[in-house]
Amino acid sequence: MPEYALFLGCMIPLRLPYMESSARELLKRFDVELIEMQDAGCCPEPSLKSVDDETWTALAARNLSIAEGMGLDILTLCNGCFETLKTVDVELKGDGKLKERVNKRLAAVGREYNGKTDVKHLVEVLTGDIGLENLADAVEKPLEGLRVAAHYGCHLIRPNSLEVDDPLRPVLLDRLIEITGASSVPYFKRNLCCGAGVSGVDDYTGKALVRYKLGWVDKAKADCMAVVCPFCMLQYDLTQTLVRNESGERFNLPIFYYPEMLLLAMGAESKELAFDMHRTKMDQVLEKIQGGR
Amino acid sequence: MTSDEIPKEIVDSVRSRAQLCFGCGVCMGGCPVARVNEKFHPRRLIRDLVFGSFMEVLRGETIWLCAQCHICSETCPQGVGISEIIVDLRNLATGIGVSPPESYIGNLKQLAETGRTVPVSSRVERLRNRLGLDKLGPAAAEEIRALVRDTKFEELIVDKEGA
Repeated sequence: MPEYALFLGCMIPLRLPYMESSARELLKRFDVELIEMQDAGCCPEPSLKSVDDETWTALAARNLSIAEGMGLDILTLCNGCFETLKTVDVELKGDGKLKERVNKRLAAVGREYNGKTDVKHLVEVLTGDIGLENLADAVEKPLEGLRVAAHYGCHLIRPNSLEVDDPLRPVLLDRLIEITGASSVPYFKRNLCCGAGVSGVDDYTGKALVRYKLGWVDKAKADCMAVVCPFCMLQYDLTQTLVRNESGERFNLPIFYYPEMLLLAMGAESKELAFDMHRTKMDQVLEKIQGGR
Repeated sequence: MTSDEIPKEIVDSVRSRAQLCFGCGVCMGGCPVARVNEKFHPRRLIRDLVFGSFMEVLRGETIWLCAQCHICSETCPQGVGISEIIVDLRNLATGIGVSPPESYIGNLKQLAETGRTVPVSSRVERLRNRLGLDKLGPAAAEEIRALVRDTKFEELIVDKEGA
């Protein structure tokens, strides 16, 4: 099985470490080897591209050069890190002049980008390297009857230069949900952004987007939502509780990080998975899945 | 760039991309922010770039409200890269001294200090420990500081600290 340089980023290890532990556990079960990236910093955050595009590019290229030095491709768990590292990689591979300017900057810190590493998101490693069939074979306790709303998050599939899935009608996460035995339910506004990218700029807009999405998920009678990005997780898990308190809305939607769902389907006990670290209560949905197992 | 002047060829090149717009409004229909916040209106933004005051757009708050979900760019029948144009406008804006939103500055400060945008807290250390995760290694902040030296990233932090 493959080996990857694990790019952790900031949000997962420093705010939502339970996402890191379940992703590591899942990948370990499929013998995907993860090598830590010494000295890796923030990807940097996609929003910082807006401040100074070329400095942002150079910082991302530094991270890419670290993986190059390890002779490995990068695996990211976060859509934000994925968008940054992959778009910079694609851009640098297609623009020799930019690469030259960036390398001039990197030389000052003894690094060099040569375009020898590729960047993959966890979803690609699960569906590509391991493969849906192998994942399905590992399911021992199918999550039958569970209705799941898939939320891809923008920066897994857009811009389309990321080339992971259809940018407007994606299917990979739905397939990942279905192999657990659960059903991925259709709902209106599936592509709606979680709002994390604007919540720091305008709190109202960030919360309104959470409310709007959850309203549609509620109408679809989903038991829970599955996400693959820490920003989406924070929005729907934490911000959901703030929206509920402020608006009196009755939302109480459990949010799974997808690896948690698959681990449960593979037979993991819920107490192994730190569901108490989620902000929205998971008890009811776990009860439904496990019937007290 | 410290003056108010944006070179004409840069204005023209952004405008020429915006001029492809024929005003169908698909961007507006798909825009999540526009749906919940009436201040943001991607089609109007593109129109203002072509027919209105370029500098007003740059100095306005609306360019910072885009969530960068890229739905507009994926659905535009004319291939106007609206979300990409917005990133270019923001870069031009910071270039003439417009300050980005406070949350960006917070991230920049944290980045220069620790190499990451989220600080290490004792709470998260405890959580990591409970989950059996290793302590996070350092992010080579000094290297990152060296790479941001004399750039807009550094200027914005220094300005803020001096203020």
